[in-house]
Amino acid sequence: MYAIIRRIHLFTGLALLLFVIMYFITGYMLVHEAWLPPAEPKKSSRSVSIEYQGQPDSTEFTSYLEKTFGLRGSRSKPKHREDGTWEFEWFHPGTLYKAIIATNGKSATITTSDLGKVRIGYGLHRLHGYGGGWLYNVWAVIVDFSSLALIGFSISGIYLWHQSTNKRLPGWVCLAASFGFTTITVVYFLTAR
Amino acid sequence: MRKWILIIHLYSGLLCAPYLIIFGISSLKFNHRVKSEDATKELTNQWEQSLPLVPITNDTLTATSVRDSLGMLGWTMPWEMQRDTNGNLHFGLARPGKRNQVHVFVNENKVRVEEHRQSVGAVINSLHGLSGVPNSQLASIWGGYTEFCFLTAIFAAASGVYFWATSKRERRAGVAVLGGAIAFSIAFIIYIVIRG
Repeated sequence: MYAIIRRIHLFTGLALLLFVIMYFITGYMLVHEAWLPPAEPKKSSRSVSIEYQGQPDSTEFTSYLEKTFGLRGSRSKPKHREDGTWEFEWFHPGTLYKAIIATNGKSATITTSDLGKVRIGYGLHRLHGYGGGWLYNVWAVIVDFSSLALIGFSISGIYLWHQSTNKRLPGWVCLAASFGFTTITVVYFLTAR
Repeated sequence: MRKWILIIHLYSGLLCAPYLIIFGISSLKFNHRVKSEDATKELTNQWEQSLPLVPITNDTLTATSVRDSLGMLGWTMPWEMQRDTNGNLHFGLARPGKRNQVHVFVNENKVRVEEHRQSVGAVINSLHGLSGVPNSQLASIWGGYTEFCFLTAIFAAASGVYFWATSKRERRAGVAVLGGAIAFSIAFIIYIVIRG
C-alpha cells in the first residue's frame, strides 16, 4: 500500500509538474499585482459585413465568425443585448476578441484587445471551464487533474509521513496547527460581524 | 543535505496540507462553474445603529469611514454605490462569508445594515489566494499563510523532482513521464497563447 501511494504521489507530481508550477507562479503574480502592474490593453476595432443567413445564437454562426474573421480563443455564450444586438466574445491568454452583431445581422464591429504580456500570465491562471471549444475542453480537463492532484498530494503526503516514521509528534503538531488555523479562519468568516 | 531537504519538504507540506486541499476544491468549483455559493438573496439579519455623520462630499471615503466606524470587515463595492434623491448613501460591503447592503441616512444620523450570509463553500472559494481583508487581522495572518504555501508548493515541486532524480528507483518510468509531460505542457501552453 505504501509503495502504491508513493508511486501515485511521485508520478502525479512528475506528470503535472509544469502546470502546478505555472499555476503557483501566475497565482503569486495575481496576489502581488502591484509589483508588476499590467499595461493598459491596446484596442483596435474594425467594421465587417456578415454574409451568413441563419440564427445568431447557433454554433454554426459562431464557427462562421471564427473562420471568416480569424477570431480565436475560448468562446463565451452569445449574449442578446437589450438594444437587439448580439455580443460574442473569445478569449485566449493575452488577447480578447469582442464582436457586436448589428440587429439586422448584416454587419458587425469586431474589437481586438491586446492585453499585454503580464496579463498572459493572469489569463493562463484564470482560463477554466468547459464549453469553450475542444482545445479549451482539453485545458479544462488538465485543470481538473491539477485540482485533484493538489488534494491528492496533501492526503497521500500525510499518509506517507505517517507510515515512514515512528517519531510522529512533530508531524501531529504541524497538522494540528495547520488544520486548526484553517478551521478557525473558516468559522471566523462564517460568524464574524 | 538530502535529509534536510526531506525534512523541509515533509513538514512544510504538512503545514500547507489544508491550504492545498482548499486550492483543489475551489479550483474544481471554478472549473465547473458551481454557482450555489454566491450570496444568498435571502436577508439573514438586519440592524440599525446611530452614527454621527457629516455631509457627504466623497461617496467612497464616506463608505469607508462608515465601515470603519461600525467595526465591520470587507471591501466597499464601487459598482453598488449610489445616492438617492434625499442624499442618502447606499453601498455594498463584501468579505468572505458575507455580503452586506449598507444604507447611510445622513439627515437621521443613522445607518441600516442588511446582512446576507454565505455558505461554507463560498468561504472556501474566497480563501483561494486571499491575501487580506480590510479591518481583519486574522485575514492578514491568512495572507501570510498564503505566501508561505505558495513558496512551499514551488519548493516541494522542485525538491520532489530532486528526490526522484537522486534515487535509483523508477528512473526510466520517471524520465518518460517527466519528459513527456514537460514537452506536452510547454507545447500546449505556447499553442494556447499564440494560436488560441
